[in-house]
Amino acid sequence: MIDRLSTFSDPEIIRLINENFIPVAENDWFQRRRQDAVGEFFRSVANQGPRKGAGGSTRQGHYALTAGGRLLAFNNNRGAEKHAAMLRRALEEWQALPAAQRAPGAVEVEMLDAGQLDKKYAQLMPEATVVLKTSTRLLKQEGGELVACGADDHPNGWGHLAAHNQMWLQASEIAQLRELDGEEPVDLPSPIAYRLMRFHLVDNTRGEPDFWSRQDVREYQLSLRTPPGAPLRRVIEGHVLLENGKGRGFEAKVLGQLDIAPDADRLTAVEIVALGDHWGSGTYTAGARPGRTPLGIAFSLADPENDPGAGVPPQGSGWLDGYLQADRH
Amino acid sequence: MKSILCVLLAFPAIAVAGSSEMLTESKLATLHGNIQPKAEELVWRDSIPWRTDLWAARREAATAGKPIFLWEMDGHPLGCT
Repeated sequence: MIDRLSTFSDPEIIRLINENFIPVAENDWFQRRRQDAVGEFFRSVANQGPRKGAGGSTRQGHYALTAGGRLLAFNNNRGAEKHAAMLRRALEEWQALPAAQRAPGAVEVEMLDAGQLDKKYAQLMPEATVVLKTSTRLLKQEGGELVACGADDHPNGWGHLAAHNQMWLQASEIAQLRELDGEEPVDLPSPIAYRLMRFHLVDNTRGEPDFWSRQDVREYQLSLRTPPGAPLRRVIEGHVLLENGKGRGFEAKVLGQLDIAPDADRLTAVEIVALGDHWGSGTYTAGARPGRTPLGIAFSLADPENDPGAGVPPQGSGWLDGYLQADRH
Repeated sequence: MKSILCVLLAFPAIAVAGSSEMLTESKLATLHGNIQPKAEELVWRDSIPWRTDLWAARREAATAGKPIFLWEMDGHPLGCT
């Protein structure tokens, strides 16, 4: 989150990267564990720098490297100045390589098919997955309305920014929602309801959140109905009370709708909001505002054309069955 | 009175009227919009064409004759962090 604001929004950093590099972002927790050619390649690059991952520890940071696997520069600093220096150092190292090693096509990199990838840690998106984008934001009351917090409303100066994640639905679940066609409310299928609550009604505004266990779901009622005159629309509404028994909780109302495509098991629009009061911090997300404070989470249909994050697996989906069948695991 | 106070202390989450009351059908679209990231919050994402597959980026870099810039975080940099 801090990197986004302090480093990768800086015009000079943007220019240096766009003019000179192929930029890629990856999840180190999974990448460093991969037992396949991709994991081996990454570890061989990281091992040339200070982050050798002793004991399986983190290798997170910023790497400049060649396609052949030579580390040009590394840092794990924040701030545009240090970062620009690292990129310039990497370019000097790059230019110092023989021209024949830098030429287009000088390095051959084989294609890998899915069968060659580590099934446990490659985090491949299942076929027929529908992706929703989630945004989470701290809110405050102002003039009788709830509005977004500003930098001055949070002690760390960046916790007010919207946080992101993805939610996965399966095409078979969209088919199920299509069949639940009636003006009388029915229960939202429990795998979807529990996935929504446990993995997506979280405060991730200060980094990786703790997710809710099934036992943390103290109370909920989430229903689905078809509004009159809109046979392909499903209105979702209800409330949840999530509480971990250790001083962290979220009590919220959920309201919104999703539109199902007329000819396929996919969605054409999603507008859902969970709004309520959150309290407490997570293991890695200290510094929550004191007491019960307003938190909003918005769900939209992902836009893969304009958002590269749409292809990123949901945080919390590392154990895919546990994520998809969140009502059972 | 005493028993009400006990309930309030034992279940503060339930006892306090909350922000959720402000989520109504008429305010849904506005709230949905207010929660979304503003344009200035997406400069890092919209100004740099991030790839999300290191191996594919490696192939692309080899073809283009360019180095790779790799942003690695515990928790995906483009995701839930």
